[in-house]
This record gives sequence, C-alpha cells and structure tokens, in this order.
Amino acid sequence: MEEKRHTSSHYERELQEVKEGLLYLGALTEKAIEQAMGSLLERDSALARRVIAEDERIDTLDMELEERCIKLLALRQPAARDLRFITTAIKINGHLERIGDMAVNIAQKAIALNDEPQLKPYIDLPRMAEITRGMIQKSLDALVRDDCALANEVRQEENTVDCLNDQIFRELLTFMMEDPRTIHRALLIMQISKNLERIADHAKGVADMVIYMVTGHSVRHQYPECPDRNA
Amino acid sequence: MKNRLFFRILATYLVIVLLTFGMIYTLLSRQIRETALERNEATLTAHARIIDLGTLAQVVRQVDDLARITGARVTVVDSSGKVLAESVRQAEVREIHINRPEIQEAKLRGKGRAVRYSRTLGVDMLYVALPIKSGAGEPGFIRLALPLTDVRTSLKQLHESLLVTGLLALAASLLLAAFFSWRLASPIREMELFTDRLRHGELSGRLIVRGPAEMKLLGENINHLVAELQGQVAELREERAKLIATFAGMSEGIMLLDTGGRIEGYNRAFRDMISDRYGDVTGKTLMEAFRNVDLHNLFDEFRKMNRPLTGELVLGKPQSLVLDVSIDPVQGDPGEEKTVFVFHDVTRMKRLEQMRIDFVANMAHEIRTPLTAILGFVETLRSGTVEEPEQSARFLMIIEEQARRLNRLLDDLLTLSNIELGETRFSFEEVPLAEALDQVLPVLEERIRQKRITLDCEIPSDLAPLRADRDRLVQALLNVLDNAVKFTPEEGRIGIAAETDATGWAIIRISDTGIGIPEGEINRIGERFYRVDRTRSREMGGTGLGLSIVKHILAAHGGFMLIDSRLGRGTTVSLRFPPALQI
Repeated sequence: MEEKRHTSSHYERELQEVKEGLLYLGALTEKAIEQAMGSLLERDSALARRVIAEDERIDTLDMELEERCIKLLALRQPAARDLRFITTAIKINGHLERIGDMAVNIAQKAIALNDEPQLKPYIDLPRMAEITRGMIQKSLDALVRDDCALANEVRQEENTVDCLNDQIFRELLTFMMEDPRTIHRALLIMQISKNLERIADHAKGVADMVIYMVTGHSVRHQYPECPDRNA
Repeated sequence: MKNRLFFRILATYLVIVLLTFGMIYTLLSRQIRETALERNEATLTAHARIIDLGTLAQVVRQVDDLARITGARVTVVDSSGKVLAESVRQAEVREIHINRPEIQEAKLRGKGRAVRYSRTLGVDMLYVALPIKSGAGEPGFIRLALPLTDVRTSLKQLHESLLVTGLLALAASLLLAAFFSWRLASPIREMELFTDRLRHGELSGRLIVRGPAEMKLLGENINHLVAELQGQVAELREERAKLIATFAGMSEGIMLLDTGGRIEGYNRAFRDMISDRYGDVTGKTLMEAFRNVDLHNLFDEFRKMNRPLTGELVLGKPQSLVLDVSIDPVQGDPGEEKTVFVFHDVTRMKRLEQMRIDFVANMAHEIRTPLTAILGFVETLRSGTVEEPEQSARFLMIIEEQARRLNRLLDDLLTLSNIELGETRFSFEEVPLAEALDQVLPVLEERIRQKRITLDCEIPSDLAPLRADRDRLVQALLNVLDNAVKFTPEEGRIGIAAETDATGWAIIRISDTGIGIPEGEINRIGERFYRVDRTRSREMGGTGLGLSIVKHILAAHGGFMLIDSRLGRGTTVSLRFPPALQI
C-alpha cells in the first residue's frame, strides 16, 4: 500500500509536468501570435524576425512533450481519465505546434508587407487577431480549470472568426479590382487572415479536446450553427 | 488506555497469586504426605512388633485375625522369601518376596519401608517389614501393608481449601487491580483530555491534578509549559497581525510560492493587479495561473541560480500591466524553501517615459518639417530663382505659409504650457453655448461646405449657460470641431448635441462619421503630439496639440473630456462641465 502510494504520487507529478509543459507551449504560442500581429500592426520587422527565431523553441518543446507522453503511456499504462488526459495532451500539443507555425507564417507575411506602404488601416484584422488570441487563451484556461462551458464558448467564437475572414476577403477583393497595384499586398493580407482563421480552427481543436478530456464525449466535427456564415 | 493499564496490573497480581498458591500447595502436600507416612509407619511397626511376640506357627495360624485387628495386610515370609502366611489370598502373591525393597531393607537394617502403587487396590500402599526375632527362631520376615487412603483424603481437603482461598485471592486482586488502575489512570486521563484541548488551540485552561505527588509535579510542569506556550502564541499572533497588515497595506504586489511551486497566497495589491484577468490564483502553479513565458523563464532562472533575481514582465491582456518583479527565497528547512515574488507596477512610469521620449521626438520633427521647407525654398531663391518673379512669388508664399505653421505650433505650445503652468488667467462668466458656437461655426463653414458635410446642431433652447472662460471655451470647441471636420470624409455627418444631466453636469457631444480611433489609442489621444496615424494627420495640417489643449482647458474648468470611438465608424467627443457653484 505504502509503495503504491509512493509510485502513484510520482506518477501524478509526471502528469502535472505534462500539463505544465502543455501550458508553457500554449504561453509561447500565445506570445508568438501576439508578437506576429504586433509586428504587422506596428510595422516592426525586427519583432517579426524574433517570432520566426523563437519558433525553434516551440518545435523542441513539442517534440519533448510528445516523447514524454508516449513514455508515460508505455511505462504507466494509464487508464480512464489519465489515459484520456495523455492522449488529449498529445493532440493539444499538435494543435499548439501548428499554431506556432502559423504565427511564423504571419510574421513572414508581415515582413513582406512592412517593405511596402500600408494598403489600408487595419480594422478587422486586429479584431480577428484579438478574438483568435482570446480563443487560445480561453481554451488553455479551460484546460487548466477543466471548464467545459469555457471550451464551448471557444467553439462558438470560431464562427465569428470565419465570418471576419470572409469579410476581409470581400473587402480586399474590392481593393484589388480597383487597383491592380494593390494585389500583392492584398494577397499577403489575405494569407494572414487565412492563417488567423486556421489558428482559430486549431484553438477550437484544443477546446474540443478539453471537452473530450473532461466528459469523455467527442464533440469534434459537430459545428455550432452560424446564421450569417453563407450570407 | 485505561483497560490496558488495568490488565497489566491484573496480570501482575495473578502471577503473584499463582506463584504463592503453587508454592503453598507443593509444600503442604509434601508435608501432609510425610506426616501420614510417618504416622502409619509407626503404627505398622508397633503392630509388627506385637505380632512378632507370638511364635511363627501361631502367627501363621492367626494371620487372618491379626490382619483384622491391625487393619493391615499381613504377610510372613521365610528367609528365602517364600510366603509362609498371607492375609490376602491370591494367586499372584505366592511368588517369592525376597527381592521386594522393604524386605531387602529389613534384612540389612532390621526394618524396611516402601511405598508402592498397588494395582490390585488401585491405591498407594505403605509396606513395613521386620525380621522375626522371637518365636521358633526360624528366620523370616513379617511384612505389614496398609493402603494410604487417608493421605488421599487429606490431600483432597487441602485442594478444596486452596481452591476456595485461591478464588477469594483472585477476586481480591481483580478489585485491587481495578482500583489501582483507576487511581493511576484518572489523572493521566485528565492530562490527556487537557493536552487534547491544547492541541485544538484551547490554551486558556489550567490542569488541576488530584493524585500521587509525582502526578502533581507532572501536572505543574504541564501548566508551566502551557503558560509559556500561551505567551509565545500571543506574541506570534501579534507578529502575524503586524505582518499581514504590512503586506496588505503595501502598494507592491506580493505573492508567496510554496515548496511544490504552487501559489500559497498573495496580498491585496497583487490581487488588485491580477484578479480582473486571472481571478483567484491560490493553489495554482505559475503556469496554470498566469501562463506567462517571461515569468516562467524568470522563475526557471531563479531556481537554477538559487539567488534573488529581478526582471520585468508584462501581465494581463488586453489591459496589460508592466511589472517589475523580484524573486527571493524564503529561509526554511532544507528542501522546504518557499519563494516570494514582489511585483512593482511600473505601467504608469513606463507610459510617462514613453510620452517624454515621444514628445521630444515629435517636437523636433514638427519644427523641422516647416524649417526644412523654408530653408529649401530660400536656398532655391538664392541660387537664382529670385530673378523669376512668378516662381519667386510662389516660393515666398510657401515660405510664409510654413513660417505661419511654425508660429501656430509655437502658439499652441505656449497656450498649452501656460494653461499647465497655471499662468493663463481664466475669467469665468456665464456663456450660453449657442453664443460660443456662433463664434466657432463661421470659421469652419467654408470647409464644411466644400466637403459637403451635413451638420446637425441640436442645442435645447432651455440649456443653462455654461460657467466658462468665453475665449477658452471657443478655442476648445473650435479644436474639437476642427478635428471632426478634418477626419470626416466627404458627405459625412457631424452632430453637435448638448444636455444637462441629473447631477447638473453640462455635456456637449460632438460626433462625426470620421475614420475613428483604434480602441487601444483612445487613452493616448490627449497626449501632446500624439497622432493615431502620423503621416495622415500631418498632411491635414494639424499640430498634434489640439485635443491636448482641449483636455487642459476642460481640466481648468473642473471638467473633463471623454472620447468614444469605433474604428471606421466615427468618433464622439464629449466635453463635460461641472455644475456651476450655487452662490
């Protein structure tokens, strides 16, 4: 009995370490997006280059975390909730790593955009970035607190981001039709918007996994209604 | 506890009782046996001697009578051991008796004695043998045997009496054990109850011990300890209260991390800093609570270096705080060290610092732009253009325009600094808003018409006049309306509305459908030279000081300016004047 308690507390610490690692990864990606968007809005290419350089840390941490999870699976053979947690952690890890890559994409586009005069004041893009960043923040908060309601909120917000993406697309289309010289910049902005939209998708993925971890029910591929999505 | 003591005492008593009774029993039973044997032996010897008085023939003949009279079994054997007479006639007794120990003994010592178990009678038999001395002179032995039944009865009596007394002793020891264990345990029990109360923090009582002197001494010692403890607890409590008050009153945020890296507690200042965004973080790890890369890295470094560390980090979004943090170890037992974080909010300082840097940079820039233009055109004129009257007239006009701009800039700066320094005299009077607007609107009329802007002016006719400095009020309105016209695209709309709210404050709202201000920058609008979009608004000829002047004018009136804006939709600037003092 004593022996068992000892090993289980050690095991618990290992699980906690995975959680901490996941949150650290989340913090890094949150920061990456923030800085990538900052580099665009403040026209600060140096900041963008820093984001690109720091992605290496995200990648290393991603691999470390995955290895740790697999080791836990192999050595501890967890059951029920713990098993769900570890498998979830592996998936969330993947989502976060992808988010990091997209932050790098945004930073690269920002560098390209900063070399040219600003096409137009950014209005919807910062809003979209703010919502997206909020989604990652909330999905990670949900992970910390096992909070399904918060995770559901993230799932709802994904629609808003989709709608904003469509809106930006339409707006840029008018710019391009008016003046072909803006096409290059408009396409870059469009790609940034697309990247943000995909980050939101990944944030929703994280939220889905949190719901699965807490309840054991999978909600992936179930989309909440979006009234004006096809409007 | 009490039971165990009771059983222990009881067991001791039982051992003593059993040992005593065992010893008494062995001693008594041996004694009883000895005395019975001796008595019987004496009787049998006497009888044997009497029998020996007769001749052998007589004895042989009268053996049955002899047996009856003596009550013993009588056997006569000759020297070879052959049985001559036997009172108990049985087949097996015909055997030769010469080897019996009693006969052998009689032969050697003149008298023999032996105790043997008789299988025939099922009882111990005492045998006494004597050599025949008188009579026919024929050598032989007379042996008398007696069953030792009376020994058995005596022993039985002994058993009975011992059993009765033993039971009595047992009962007595039970009672005694109960009594002594109670007597011993009751003060102990009392002490136990008392110390238990102590453990639950009840330090006020005192222990009163009834019982042996040793217990009383112990009780006194306990009382002494309690008194000392009470003093120490009170002292600690006071220290603690002082500490808590100190921490609570500090403007620096303080957070304590336990050995396991979880947040153990934090003070009010820190709660105020973080609770909006992070909620209650007690019991969480740093990662769970803040998920802040910089904080994590700082703490990591602190753990590696294991010495105090300071750093700067940004916490909380979207309203972020710039915090100076220092991390210190809290002295504790090895392996039990806690960590204390002290956060110092430097957000305001950072902003002021940034404002100062911006101001100087802006100032230089604002002055340089017109100067560059002036110098450029002067140089062109000197290098020969003077001779071309048409060109030179145009250049001179530009130079004049730029010089005027410089002048305007310096005027604005002076106004601002005068208001700030309190050197501008304000003469307050009752100014109807409509009158002030009548002075402002003609200045802007031309530009409003050019941009085809619709102007909605809704001033209630019963609006109380403002208590203000007329010229300054006009300047404030002009600055705000000038901005509205500047940033509203063609065919836009500008609205002017005014009201007096329930508390008597006059509110003037000037709204436009202009380009708007990003949410994050609204707070900075009133800063000198602050421009949302530098290139654009400079093209429009602003000095970057307009709203800053408005802000200060309102402050001088005891009012304030509020800006509400949606990017791309428009801006509403509200000027609020406090109610005029009732005299």
